[in-house]
Amino acid sequence: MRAYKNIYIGLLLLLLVALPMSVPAAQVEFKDFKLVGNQPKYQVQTRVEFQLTNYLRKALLSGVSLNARVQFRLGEHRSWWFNKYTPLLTVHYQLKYHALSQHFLLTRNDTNEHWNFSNLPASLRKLAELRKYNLPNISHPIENGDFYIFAFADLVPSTLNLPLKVQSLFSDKYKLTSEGVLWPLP
Amino acid sequence: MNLSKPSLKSLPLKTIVFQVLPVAVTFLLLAISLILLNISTNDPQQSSAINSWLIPLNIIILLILSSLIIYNAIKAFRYLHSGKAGSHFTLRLMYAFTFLTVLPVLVVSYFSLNFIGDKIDNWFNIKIEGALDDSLELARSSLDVRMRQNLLNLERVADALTTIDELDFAAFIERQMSEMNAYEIVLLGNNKKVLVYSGHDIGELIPHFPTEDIFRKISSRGYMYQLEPIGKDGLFSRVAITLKPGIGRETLILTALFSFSDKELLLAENVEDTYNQYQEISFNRNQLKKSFRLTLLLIMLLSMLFSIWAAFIYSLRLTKPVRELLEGTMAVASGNLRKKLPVTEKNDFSLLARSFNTMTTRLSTAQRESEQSQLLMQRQHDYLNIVLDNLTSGVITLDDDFIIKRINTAAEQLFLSPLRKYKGETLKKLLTQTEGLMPLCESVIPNLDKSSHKKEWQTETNLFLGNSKLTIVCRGAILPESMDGTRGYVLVFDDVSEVIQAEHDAAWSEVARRLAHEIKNPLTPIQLSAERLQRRLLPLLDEDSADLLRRMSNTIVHQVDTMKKMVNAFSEYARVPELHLNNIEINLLIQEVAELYRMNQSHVDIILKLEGSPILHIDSDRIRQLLINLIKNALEAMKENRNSDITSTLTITSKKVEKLNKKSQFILIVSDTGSGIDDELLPHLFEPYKTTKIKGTGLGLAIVKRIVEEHDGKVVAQNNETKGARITVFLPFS
Repeated sequence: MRAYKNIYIGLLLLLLVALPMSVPAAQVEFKDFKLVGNQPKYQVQTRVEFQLTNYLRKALLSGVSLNARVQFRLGEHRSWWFNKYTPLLTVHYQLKYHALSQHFLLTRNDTNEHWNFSNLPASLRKLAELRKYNLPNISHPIENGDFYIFAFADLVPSTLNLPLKVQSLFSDKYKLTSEGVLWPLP
Repeated sequence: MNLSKPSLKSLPLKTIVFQVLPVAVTFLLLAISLILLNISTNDPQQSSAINSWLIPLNIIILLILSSLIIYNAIKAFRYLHSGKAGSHFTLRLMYAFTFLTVLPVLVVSYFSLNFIGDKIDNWFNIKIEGALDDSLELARSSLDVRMRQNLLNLERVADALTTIDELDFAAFIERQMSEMNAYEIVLLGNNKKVLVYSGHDIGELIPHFPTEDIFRKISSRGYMYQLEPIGKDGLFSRVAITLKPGIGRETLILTALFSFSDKELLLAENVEDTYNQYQEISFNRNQLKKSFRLTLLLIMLLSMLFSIWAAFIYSLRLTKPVRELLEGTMAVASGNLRKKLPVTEKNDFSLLARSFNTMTTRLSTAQRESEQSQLLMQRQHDYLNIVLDNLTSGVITLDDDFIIKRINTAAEQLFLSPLRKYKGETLKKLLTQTEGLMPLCESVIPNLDKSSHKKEWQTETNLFLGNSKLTIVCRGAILPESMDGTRGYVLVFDDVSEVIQAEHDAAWSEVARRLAHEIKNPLTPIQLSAERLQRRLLPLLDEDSADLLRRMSNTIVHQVDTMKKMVNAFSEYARVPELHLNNIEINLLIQEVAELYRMNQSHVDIILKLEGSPILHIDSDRIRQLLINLIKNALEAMKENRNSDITSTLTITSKKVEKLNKKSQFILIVSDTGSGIDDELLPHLFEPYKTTKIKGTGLGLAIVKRIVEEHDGKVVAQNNETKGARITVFLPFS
């Protein structure tokens, strides 16, 4: 009986420890991810849904631009140590509000493409799309290991240039970050 | 003495490395940091490069200052706990300086922080915000007019398109675009398909053409116009209109993009930028406040830490001369009169240090002279002590209250008692508590009476110490007045017993010699005359008369014999023979004499307890006489008090004893089991004619004493604890 009692107490403690660890719902999510192709050429397709908080929405309408970043890495699974990551590609977007025209301007920094939308959902939809995107060639030999593509995204409001770079203290507070997701290489 | 200011060259390397350099480096870093912070605050956007290493720089300075303050604080507290001179003063000064520097900084910080908040809030007042909204609206209105004109122009084009053939659409639109100065004109089909495109930048614009947006807006009114910001190219006006080329034909949409004039564009962009900046800053005003407050706090913190550190350093530096002076004073107080203070700077403290050094120099000289005087005095004191200790007279000095100040060795030897323990006590206590000195108290104390005003006096007292009678002469005198105005007394004690005894003995010897000379001469004729009278008259007288004559003459002869013996004894006592000293094994001599008396009439057992074979440098005949006298005296004493039931014994003991002064002494003890010696007789036992015996001359022990004294010895008579008496002879080894 004493042994059972100990088990119950252990489970109760585990529950108590686990309760505060409930993770808030992710505000940036990867959806409909597809990874096709063969080494060395791979192509990804996905939707990165950004659910803006009220603060960010208000900040956007107040002239604060939002910087989105989607990063892809080549991951290598290791049994006895931390997994190894090699950066592959980072896609940068900037979303800002044009008060005079009341349009939302979306700019992709790496390709210098830009779009304008008369409403926010349309601009966010465009921001979410990543269609048939070619990853850089993976020349790394992948036959003898567990390799995968690791992706994560975040969205950070731009801040004022303040003395001592203290803006980083405030911008990180409102930053949206996705959970890291990974897909094994075919 | 060099009073010039110390230059950097004259400072030691340790001081430069550990004191000057950290101050200079920290001050320099702090100055750089504050200048950069000022630049960064004035123009944050232009100084992003500065910002990137301003934080590490400030962190380094903060760490350096914090470390220095902690180091100095620990040093100060250690210094305080060490109890060194001036530690409290230094610490108090540190507190005062710290308080005086930190308090204004805190007050200024508090008001500055509030002021910054109010100041930033004032930037964003409602009037400015309203004016900016109005200007934005005004810009929109202005641009609306331009867009409506563009719409009218496009309507004319659309109307014209309804009249011409579809095949000419592209050429017509191209022509119209040039005429209207449009950026692009696009004709879309009902299925959103581009039928005709005429524009400047096909590759860039077509993929991002806002078809959906145009169709949605045009569906309700048949036309639309809007401002369209396009990338870096700036602001355009988008106008669109529906057209129906003919009955039964699909509805088309004609849309065009017009650019604004440079002036309009510039004004619009200015309004847009200003509005955006204001909105952004207004939205981030709390961040801005926090940022400025944080910056101000950092500046305040740096200033405060530097002030605290400077307060520490300055306190230590300011109190250094005081601490040195205190240390010097303490060193002087502890007896180090050679202590000198460094005189480096030309200020009030250097004057003080110089005065201190002069003072210590003078004190040192005075101390040296004093030490020499003390040494001289000590030598005189030692000299006096040696003189006093080597005096044969006992000396006791007293102060005004008759407290004993000094007792010499001779006094202790004289009174056979450790008198020095009474030093600091009164003379009366010494005399009353020491055994046998009470008579001295009665004779000395009255003379010390201050009322008697006697400067010098003398008294003679008889004491009985150690079974000996001593005649002590005490001379007293008042000492000269000392520096403190008190006077004292000196008492000198002399044992005159031997002098008196010698005088006594000399008188007895003279008496004995005269008796021997005056009495012995007529005795022989008296004896011969009595014998002749008997011889002549005896035959002539009758029986009775003859008998009477015989008895009378016999009496005369016997009495004359007795008188002869007595006169011989006196002669022997008075005789001062020359000693013939030889090395004699004394125990053999004792055995020899004892054997003579082994068979005695008193039936006394003679027991010998002789240790070793000591050889003495003595006159054997005189010592034999001494032994005979002692044994005979003892046997006679026991014979007179003989008890047949108890066996009488005579014990002769001899031993050699080492004295404290390394001189050896031979001790001979003749102990009997007689009735002992009367207490009254005991002090006078060795005087002539002092005897309780019926027979004898009373000179036996007097002769013993004389023989002992001839050999520089001493004789003592004591009663045994149990029974009888013993006579102890002390003879020195040569």
